This record gives sequence, structure tokens and C-alpha cells, in this order.
Amino acid sequence: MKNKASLKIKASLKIKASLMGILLCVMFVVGCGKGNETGEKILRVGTNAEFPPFEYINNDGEVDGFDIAVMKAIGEEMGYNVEFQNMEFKSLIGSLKTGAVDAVIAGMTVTDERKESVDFTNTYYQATQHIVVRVDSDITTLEQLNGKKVAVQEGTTGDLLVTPEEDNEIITDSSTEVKRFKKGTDAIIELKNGSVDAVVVDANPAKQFVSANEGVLKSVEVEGITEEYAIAVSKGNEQVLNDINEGMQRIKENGVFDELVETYINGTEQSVRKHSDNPVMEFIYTLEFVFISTNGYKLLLQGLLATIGISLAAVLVGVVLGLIIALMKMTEVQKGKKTLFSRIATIYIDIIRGTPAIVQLLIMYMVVFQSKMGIVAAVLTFGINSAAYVAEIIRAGILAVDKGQMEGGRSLGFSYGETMRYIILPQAIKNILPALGNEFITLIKETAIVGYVAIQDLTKAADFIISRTYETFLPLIAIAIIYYCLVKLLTKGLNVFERRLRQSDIR
Amino acid sequence: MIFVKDLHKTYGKLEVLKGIDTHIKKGECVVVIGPSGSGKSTFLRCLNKLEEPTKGEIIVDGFNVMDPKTDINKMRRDVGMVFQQFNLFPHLTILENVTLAPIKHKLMTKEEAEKKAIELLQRVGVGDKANSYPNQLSGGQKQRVAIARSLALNPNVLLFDEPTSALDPEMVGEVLEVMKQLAEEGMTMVVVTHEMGFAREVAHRVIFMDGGVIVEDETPETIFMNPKNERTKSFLSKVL
Repeated sequence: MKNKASLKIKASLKIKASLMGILLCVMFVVGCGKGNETGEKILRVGTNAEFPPFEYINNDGEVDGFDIAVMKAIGEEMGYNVEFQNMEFKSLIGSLKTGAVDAVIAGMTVTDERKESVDFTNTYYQATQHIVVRVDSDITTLEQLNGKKVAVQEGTTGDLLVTPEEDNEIITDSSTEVKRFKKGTDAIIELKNGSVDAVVVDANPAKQFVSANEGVLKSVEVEGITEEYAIAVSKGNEQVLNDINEGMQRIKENGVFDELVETYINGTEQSVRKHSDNPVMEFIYTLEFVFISTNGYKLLLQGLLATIGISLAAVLVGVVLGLIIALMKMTEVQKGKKTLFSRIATIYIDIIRGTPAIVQLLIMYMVVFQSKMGIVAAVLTFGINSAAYVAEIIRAGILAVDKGQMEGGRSLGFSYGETMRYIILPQAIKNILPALGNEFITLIKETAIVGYVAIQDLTKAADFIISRTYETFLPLIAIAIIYYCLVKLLTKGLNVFERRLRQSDIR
Repeated sequence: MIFVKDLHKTYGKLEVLKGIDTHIKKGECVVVIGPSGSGKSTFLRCLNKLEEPTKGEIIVDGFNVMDPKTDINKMRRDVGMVFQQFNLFPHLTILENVTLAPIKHKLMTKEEAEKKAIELLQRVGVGDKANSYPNQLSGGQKQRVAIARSLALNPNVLLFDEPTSALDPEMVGEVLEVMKQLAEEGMTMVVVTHEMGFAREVAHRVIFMDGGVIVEDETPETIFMNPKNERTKSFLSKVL
């Protein structure tokens, strides 16, 4: 008896494993089929637009900054069509390795560690590190950070400097608490909120942070640490390496490079923000600053469209896939015992419901799509995810139709499939549609994680606004309200629709 | 027309039919009676394979029901069935309920099917309800529509599974009247029912089932006036 049971478990595990394999293979093939085409000279450049003034999102929602302008100028010199891909700083080197991008320009410091993974062009900028603190702080050296709370941008030089490790000569106190953020601006906000004592960051962004927070923050240079920025290309890619080096040489010779240094780095950016002592006026000025003068409303609008678009497309994928899965599972009812199809469907639902959507999204985007086509990856992920829930909704809807309907259909000579199509499904729809509407509403909220794969949805839009204005309250409340209204509106619409369906029942 | 030999049906350990043998001729109206749990409904549902028989031989209208190669869907077009709960399709109008099968089976065009459906509905007395939905009809009307729906496929055999058991008493008569007409027109019918009046008046033969076997198979006169078996006697004494 015991043996038999364990055999059964083994067999089902085997089925699960091979099914996962098939799924992954299919996803891989789908992912690969869409890669490199075009004969044009396109240079795909990865960056992390969270590092002003080198790279940031400008008021039109586009990637901008010193690095970006330099790269464009080089591209123009050398006849490349430069396409930028904005991603997280720590994904940049990985994307070079997988070939998702050809080069990376992101204020990246040349280090021996990085040299093992990528090749660097000639350096184009020398940077120093700064400690940013609140104005009332007396911290001036790295040594003083021992035992304090420090915020940094994950994976940056600042991170390396303050992390207490054996080979770190400066920070030796293991009670030093380092908070790592994906964005430098988040670290600054943490500092403003008083949760950390200092932020260690490159000189230029430090200058920007301080000028944007005048009277609140100040910064001091860290002595004796100079870094060199260079553009990274994948290891052994001589062609691109040489082209970029030559382009850099040319724009330095023709003066374009110096112009860009003037414009982006030495030029003082004038603040568009007005201030007032009257709290009401101050609030209005803040509103204007956050949503109007820095084009926040545009970002929110674009984000809203992306959120709705992705949710709609995903729900469509989910319905089609969910119907297939539901029918596969229903073969169990037809045959009166488990079938191959019903087993596959059960395992599918089991796996999808048993793993977090964010993990599925990251697998789809980073593994299957190799960090390309984030929107497709997101739609597919949420479609596949939603299908598991939709399948159960559809199955329940079908099972809720009176059993006599199937017999009635079969007794008229209809096959199982025909009876489903002509008789069961049209009735099941009434049970299914309202629940599907709810699934769509759930999906809208779930898509708030697509920012992880560099899609600018509503949540990511708020993120951008925060990183540009250093205001957290207004953008977050704004998207909360937008999500809420969206959901409320859909729920209302759904209720009306449901009432209509029921009315047609009474007739 | 219908030939049954050594028919068995078991659900797990429970044996519901323990060897049924019978033969029903073309144009015959056979009524099956018996206490509940006697297996009479199961027997009827085995005839068009709504229940999978466990063992035995069934030939209906030339179709070998037990042969896996037989096209059961085709067989069911020739063998109509009327259910206790009517099983009308609530999302379709009465007319659509009747025309669905002939149109989808491509036996008739939509116009032909509708013309025939109207005729059938008039014949069973619900011609004026063609554009209504099932939920707007009374039980008796629904069952008459269900009969019309079966007839739309021009079946050679009609199976009735307790057609009046779910009806209010005042509506039983109108349904039995339609069935009586059909029998008189020579339709081959197998009727599972508790309506002894109908059995006595309309049936050519009455089969009394009990405990999964046929206890008596006689003319109505013999069954009702002069039953041979003790079990038949005791059953009839309770229901009459």
C-alpha cells in the first residue's frame, strides 16, 4: 500500500516536472523568436535614469542627461541609431552579458570587479564622492559614519565605501547600518525624513540633490577618492568598443563634449518652484510644482493608459487561456475520472496560484524574454496568471448550470462539445461575466508591480515624480485616488451590468 | 424495434439492473411501472445510453447500443427523450428550443425547421407561445414543448422518463392527452410513469419492475385485473 502511494506521488511529481519543462521551453522559444532582426546600425544602450545630472527622466518623460547627450553625440558621429533602455542599475551588467543591450552608459565607475564581466571604453569623466547630510549635521568624513545609519544607491561606489566588510579600511564598525535603495533619490528622501544620518553618493548628483533641497541638506567631498566613469560594452565586442572610443575622441576634438559639460554639469538649473509663507499658497505652489510645471500630470496620464492597457490585454489573454484550461479540467466531469488534460490543467492552476505574481513577472521578463519587450512580458505574465483564476471562474460557472441541460442536449443527438457550445456555455456566461469583471478589477491593482520590468505604469509614474520633485505625499496620494476611482467606476458599471443580466432572466 | 437481452447496470457495488430481457415492437406503447428504486428509470436511460450499461445487449432502432463503434449521437436523433424536469433550454425561446437540433444537425433549413416547429407547437397546443421563454410557461406547457422538441427530429422511438411527476395535478391531463395522441398515431413509446390510468387506457403492454428485474410483462387488462405475481398485487393495491 505504502509503495503504491509513493509511486503515485513520484509519478505526479514527474508529470509536474516535465510540464514545467515544456512550459519553460515554449516560453523560451517564444522569447527567442522575437530577438535581433533589422540590418540598420542600431546601438542599444542601457542606462539607469536615476542619477542626475548624468541620466534622469526629463519633464517630457524621456531619458535625458549628460551621459545620454554624450551617447547621442557619439552615435551621430559614428552613424549609429542610439536606442536607450532604462533599467535598474544592478541589471545593467547582466543585460550586457545576455546581449539585451550593446553598451551601458550610466555614470559607471571603472572597477576591477566590473572589468571581469565587461570591457570599458576610455574614461570620459572623473568623479569624486560626496557625503550628503542634513544642514545641522557635523559629519564631514567617512570615518565619522562608523556606527551611524547610512543610505546609498544599491551597487554604487557609495555602497562599496560604507559597507562594513573585512577589506573595507574605512568602515569597520559592524553596527553601521547601511540602507540600500534602488534610486539615489529614495536615499535622499530617507535622509530628509531623518531615518538615516548620511547619504554617500557621487559628486554631481550630490550637488543636484543639495540644490533641490536648499536649506535642508548640505554635502561635503570625500577626500582622496576619485573615480573614473567609462562606457561599458560586452566582453570582446571590439567593434562597438573601438567605435565608441573613436566617437568620443571626435566629439572631444570638435568641442561638442565641452559644450555638453557646460550645459549639463556646470550649468545651474533654475528651480521652477515658487514658495510662499502662506500655508495655503505654499500648498498650491507645491501642487503646481509636482503636477503641472514638472509635467507630473502627463506622467500620470501616460501611466494610467499603460495600466489600463496592460490590464485589458492581460484579461483578454486570461479569458482565452482560462477557457481552454477550464475545458481541459472539465474533461474530468465528462469522463467521470481524471484525464491527462484535467491533470495538466490542475497542475497549471496549482503552480500559478502557488507562486507570487511578481516572481512570475521577473521570470518571464528576465529569463524568458531576456530583458526585452517588457510590455509583452507583462501582458503574458498577467494573462497566464489571470488564466488560472479565470479557469476556476469559468468552471464554477459551467458547473452551476443545471445537469439536466447536458442531458437535454445529449438526448437531442448533440455531442458533448456541441452541447457545451449551444446550450451550456451561453447559460454559463451569465454566471461568469460578473466574476470576470471582478477579476479585471483585481488585475488593475495587481499590475502595479510592472514597474519592476521598466514599464511606466501608474505606480511607476508616481515613482518618477517623487524622484524628480522629492515630494512623496502628493504623488502617492494622487495615484491612490486614481486607482480607487478606477476601481469604483468599474465596480459601479459592473453592478449595473449584472442587474441587467438578472432582469433578462425574469423577462 | 427495441431488443434488450440480459441488461445489467451496477453503480459501484449496488446492482440496479439484474438482467433485463424484453422486446418492444414497432408501434407499441409500453408502460413501465414499479416502486421507486426498482430500476425502471435506469432501464429507460440505458436505452439511449444516458446511462452506460454494465453488460448485456441492446439494439434500438437498428443501432447496437453496446457497440463502441456505434455513433450514439446519430442514434439519439432517432430516439427522442422526454424528461421529468423538461430540461428546456432557458436561454432560448420556445421556437428556438424546438428548432435548435434540426438546424444544427443540418436536417432542415431555418425556414423549414421553423415551419415544422410551429406545426408541432400547435399540435401540442402551445402554438401561441413560440416567442416566449421557458420560464414564462406553466409546467404542463413546458412538458408539451419538450415533447414537440423531441418530435422535431422525426424520431422512431420516444422515451418518457416520468413525464408528469413534476407537474401540478391539474396539468397532468394535458400532457397525457398529447402522449395518448402520439400512441394512437402509432409512435413506438416506452413510458416510465406512475399514471395507472394512462397505463390502463393507452398502453399495449405494461411491464412491472421490482428489485432490478422484470416481474411481470403483460397486457394492461391482465396486470390490473388479474396480476399473477404477489409483488405486483401488493404494489397495485397500494397505488390504485
